[in-house]
Amino acid sequence: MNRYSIFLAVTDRTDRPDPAFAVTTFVVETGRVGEADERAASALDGLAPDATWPGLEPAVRREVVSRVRAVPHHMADHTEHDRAPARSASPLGDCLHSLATDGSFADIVTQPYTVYVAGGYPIDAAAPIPFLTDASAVHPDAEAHYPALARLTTLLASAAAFSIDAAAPDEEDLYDAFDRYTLGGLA
Amino acid sequence: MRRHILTGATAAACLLVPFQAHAVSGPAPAPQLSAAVWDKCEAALDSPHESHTNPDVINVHADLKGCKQKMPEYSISVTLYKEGQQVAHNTGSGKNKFKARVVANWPPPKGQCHDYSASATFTVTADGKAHSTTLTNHSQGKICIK
Repeated sequence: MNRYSIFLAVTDRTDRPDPAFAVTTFVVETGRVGEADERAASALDGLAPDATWPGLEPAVRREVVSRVRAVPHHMADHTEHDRAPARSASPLGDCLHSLATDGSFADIVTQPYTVYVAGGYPIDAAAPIPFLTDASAVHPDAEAHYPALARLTTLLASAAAFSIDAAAPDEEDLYDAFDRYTLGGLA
Repeated sequence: MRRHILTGATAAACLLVPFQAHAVSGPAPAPQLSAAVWDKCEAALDSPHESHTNPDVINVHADLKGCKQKMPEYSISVTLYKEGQQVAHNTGSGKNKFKARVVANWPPPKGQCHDYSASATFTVTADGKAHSTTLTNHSQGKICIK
């Protein structure tokens, strides 16, 4: 059985004047992924489908953080491609390579895992990216499997800049809901 | 009753009452101790507390946060003690991060009440120099796992 279920959300603005590329990852132990999806659905109940973290009122942010604390999880990560992504052959490959070789994630990918891609980003599962080719399975449609966890992962992507802001209060920081997390650039 | 979260200027005003009612039903955040480490980065260690997601588990979080620039390298080592005896230990490390959190957790036998403490060492390495600090924190009285 797969040990981990790994949800990915890709932020890709490399076609804009201010290029930005990032991969946000949310990891759940596969044995609790169904429970996690149910709790995430409850935690995010009522959020507008297009809601982003900066667009929420502070009181709403605090309430969502409080609710999300109940979602079973292993860890969360947000990795920005901070080395000219527009000139990289594969910004996605760079981010996933960094994720798989640095910090706590390096231990996760030594165990069997399944990848779920949220937000409809067109990932080629056959691309020569070890993080993907080493997965037991890559599902490009996270929403069809675990819609609430897919939604939580895309919300985490929109919450990363807020979390990185040194002045952001902990109780409004979505990442503060989790036991393990990292936010930063390529290792 | 379904609660609805809205975006826009009316959201807080419309939803403040049900949101507050929901929020106070959960455990309060564990008090944190903090100390400066490097640049604007601070180390923080919360008070050992019952996990929100796993009610039978004791958790303690060790954070590096508040950075204005990415930490070139960091490491965190956190240890949880039950009445002075080590029961859990965890570490984390990485490069080029703004923030990082590591947890140490332990599931005590049910029906037991204990005082807990924790210690964590935080290191940020920049320009070949290691900047370290160590924090110790205690549970708010005995924690009972029923």
